[in-house]
Amino acid sequence: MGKIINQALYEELKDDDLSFIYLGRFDNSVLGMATELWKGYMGKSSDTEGQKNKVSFLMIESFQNILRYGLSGRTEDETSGEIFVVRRRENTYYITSGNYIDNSKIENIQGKLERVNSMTADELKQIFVETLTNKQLSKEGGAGLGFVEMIRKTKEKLEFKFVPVDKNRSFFYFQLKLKCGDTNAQQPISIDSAEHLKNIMEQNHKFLAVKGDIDRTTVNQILLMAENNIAVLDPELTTQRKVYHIMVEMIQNISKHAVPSENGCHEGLFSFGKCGQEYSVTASNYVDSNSTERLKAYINVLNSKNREQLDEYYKQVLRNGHDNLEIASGLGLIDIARESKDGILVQTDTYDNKSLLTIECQV
Amino acid sequence: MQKLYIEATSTTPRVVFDPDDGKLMITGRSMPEDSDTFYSPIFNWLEEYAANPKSYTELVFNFEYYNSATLRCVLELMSILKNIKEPNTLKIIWYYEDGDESSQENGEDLRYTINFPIELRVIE
Repeated sequence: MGKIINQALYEELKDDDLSFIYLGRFDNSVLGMATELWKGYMGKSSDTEGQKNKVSFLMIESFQNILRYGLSGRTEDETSGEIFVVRRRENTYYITSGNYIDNSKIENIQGKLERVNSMTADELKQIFVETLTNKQLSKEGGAGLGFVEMIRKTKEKLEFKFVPVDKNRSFFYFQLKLKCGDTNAQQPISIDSAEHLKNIMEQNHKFLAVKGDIDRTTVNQILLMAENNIAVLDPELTTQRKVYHIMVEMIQNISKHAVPSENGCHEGLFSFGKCGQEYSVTASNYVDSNSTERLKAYINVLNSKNREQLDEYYKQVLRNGHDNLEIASGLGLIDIARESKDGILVQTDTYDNKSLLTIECQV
Repeated sequence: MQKLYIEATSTTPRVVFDPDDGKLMITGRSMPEDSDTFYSPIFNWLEEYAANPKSYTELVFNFEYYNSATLRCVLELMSILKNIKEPNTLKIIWYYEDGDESSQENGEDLRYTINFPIELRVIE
């Protein structure tokens, strides 16, 4: 049993209200799902409609930047490499993209970014109109209508960073910051954080991580995004169903059992990935510290049973479940144990006097 | 002339252009990866319409989301219709959500760029 990955991710994300990290397959349908997911999240926040629409706009623009410029820089044996991150912390949204880029293009992009970063609001408006009306200019890229609109909407400098990969390519990180309401950011997110997240995710073969209030509406969007990736990775329908089933159980486990925070959120961290032939599904959430030991003991009992014993146990719980609510809530866990290759990995950590329970399984 | 009807997808808007009553509506999300490919049949339809328009034409944009490339296509659609000459009349309406100052600002930008009194309305 390896080390559970969610800890490293959690360390990085714990001060976020919401986080979304994606390293999977990039196409416009994924963008549609990510936008939906955020719409669900933002629906509950106190941000104004205008701010929410800006976030959607900025997400679309930076995601499509990856589609437009990013995918060509990859070599054939690199199946992924691009990263897309959206986070909210201290009333500020951070939208970060990362993709390969030919070194020959750096000068041009850097020039455009520095140019728009140095412009006043009036100059930006002027360049916006020019770029919009001049077709030739826009084909050649001009100042980049996207960049101009991003800076006009965020009113913040565009952050960027080029990390050399090899003699021909670099990795281009690009970050947007949108402040909503009063904010005196004590812990602003640096562009380096995306690089760190990318390393954690890649080392652990994860392609999706979501932290925040996990409820019924967000569950469906997370599942859709994961499903979209599995369908491509695994044409085998039985595998797809099995993985999907585990994800449903694990995510619902968060939404059902997480101890609600002061504002009623069921905060959790869910991550999903594939290494070799195995999928890994990991879920973390805060639990009542009294029930931690009981849950751990229960999982150990499940791990000690073989498949037949688990099947028998499952039926037994189904029959008697209603007499014993405590056991009934473990039905999902039996299911997870039945599908999991090496049993359920379990770990607890303490943050701010609260117990974070993490379970992981390989399918 | 045939009615132009395009069903919405998760990344492209619903388009309903009715040549019989002159009402031309685009609603929903517009964030196609390749905006020119999506919009070019719409440009073609509109050019044919503009050659022989109804006495009153109303072009309405009501976007939930849009990307920057869409703005360029919107400008192109407006430019085609601007050729409509008197006594025929043209009205262009740009809807934005209450409090969404950036969409409102884009509406103003378009008005300024195309030099036409585009009507900005708040979505009710």
